[in-house]
Amino acid sequence: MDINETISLLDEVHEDLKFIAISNVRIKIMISLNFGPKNLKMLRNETNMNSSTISHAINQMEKRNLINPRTEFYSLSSPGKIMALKLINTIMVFSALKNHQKFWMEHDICRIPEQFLRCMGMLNESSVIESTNSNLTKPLNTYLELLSQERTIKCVSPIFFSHHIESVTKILKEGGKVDIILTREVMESLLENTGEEKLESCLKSSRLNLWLCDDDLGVAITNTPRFFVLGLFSVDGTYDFSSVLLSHNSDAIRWGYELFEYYKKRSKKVDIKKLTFI
Amino acid sequence: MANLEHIFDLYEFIHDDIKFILKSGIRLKILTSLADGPRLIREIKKEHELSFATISNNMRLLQNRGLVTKVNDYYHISQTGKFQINHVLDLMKSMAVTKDFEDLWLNHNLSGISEDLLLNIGVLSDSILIKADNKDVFKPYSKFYNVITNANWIKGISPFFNPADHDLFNEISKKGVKIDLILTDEVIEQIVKTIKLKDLLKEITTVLNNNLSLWRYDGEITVGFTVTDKCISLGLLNTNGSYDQNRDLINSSSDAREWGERLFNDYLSKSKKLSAVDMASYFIRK
Repeated sequence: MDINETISLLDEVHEDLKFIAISNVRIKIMISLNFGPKNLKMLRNETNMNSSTISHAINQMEKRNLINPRTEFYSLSSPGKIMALKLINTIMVFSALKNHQKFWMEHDICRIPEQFLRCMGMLNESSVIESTNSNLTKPLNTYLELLSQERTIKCVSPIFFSHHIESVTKILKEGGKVDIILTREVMESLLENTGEEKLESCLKSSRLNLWLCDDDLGVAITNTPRFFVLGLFSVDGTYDFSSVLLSHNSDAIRWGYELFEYYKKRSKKVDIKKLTFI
Repeated sequence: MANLEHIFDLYEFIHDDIKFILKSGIRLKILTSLADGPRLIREIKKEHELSFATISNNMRLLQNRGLVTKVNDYYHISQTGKFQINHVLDLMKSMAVTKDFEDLWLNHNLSGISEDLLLNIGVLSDSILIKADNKDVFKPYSKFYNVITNANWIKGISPFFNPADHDLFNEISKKGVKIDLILTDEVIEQIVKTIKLKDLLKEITTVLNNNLSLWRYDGEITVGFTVTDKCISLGLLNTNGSYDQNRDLINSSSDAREWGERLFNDYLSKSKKLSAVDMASYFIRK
């Protein structure tokens, strides 16, 4: 979208957007009705606003076709429903950003696919693990410690580090299952470090699956049934080991799995027979 | 999704930021320019015909919020700023989709489209709404006919049955166009009812033919939807339950087609492919 298109979009809808998004009263009514039709009393209880404030707002919203003409219960019209979902999404996404503003600001979040940024609200319940002066490797150690208790992991790895290989090898030895999406560069380092034979035998066991991705991998993620870890690159293009986002929340874990699947679709599975060609 | 109380709490936490970015058209214009690349004040002045004082006042507010930084005389958008303006643009696109095609949404049933897809409805912003009028009552249908006959593959979901479509799809699939149709139990039964016994064998052969696959959706279908390699076409049910044949949304952008395939796959995951035996058993039931 170029600037002129954006400006004409802005001219077209800014007033309408302001109408619903600037007023506390209207936003709260829309959020509340998103969860089902309500009568005045229910709206009053949920929003802690008085009847006349609510009625006035509802009249205005009815005129703009956001709320269906009144029956006993108020309900959102279809356009109202779409905008209510968008507003709730905006609240969730802006909170997730604000919760860990420093983490997002310090990293190149533009390399996260847009559709995933759009549902970043799923990452609201997470924490940032940062390195400290007395413990420079705290994020890495926390991650490896958590990893050591897992049996099934899925990773997106745009970077190579030997500690990770040790942990993964241990999981495989103990009968676990590991899926990794990696870049050509990381694949080369992996071959160099583990040797073709060892890698081949791991792949043969089919408990290790590798995918090669030629698209930009701008995130490092690890998913297990119990946690999700996200590491990012700095704006200058170097990977930042000094902080990671960690979550045990089911929404965040789902966000991670979906991101893994997103990259998997853009990758080719590594074929044992073709290892030498890489 | 989070519950009501939790959303209200988050809203308290964030409503200042939302208001700040949405309230001022001037700030949105400045951020739009900076998202395109660093600018000097006079460059923004020229782009938007705003006064120097207006720009510099708002620039200071944007800097205070960490959305913009100044390096030498150039203003740069921060990561947060870029993220927020992108989000707001998407919000505006959705608003435009609900406004521009209000006729399609208002008094129509949206329950057939998942919340995930509704959140991405901004991709439909450059659609065309085809409406029947007195001069051409079959306008949506003739447009649909064009969509179908120009496609290299077709995936459709339909809550109704049109005998003419049945022949049309058979014709097209013979030309090598791969067609997947998701229908309800009721509609499939209707199709079978119209088949004469002598045609049954032919019909079964068609179903076995790889080019045409019929899928039975377990549940109610509330969209009339087609996605092809070229475009999507979307119609909805009225809130009274009847299909609205007078309105069809058409979009040929790649984002819209990707959106359409996700919609199709949502239904496909809850459908079962019909075999020749299934077809025959429908026939016996009749």
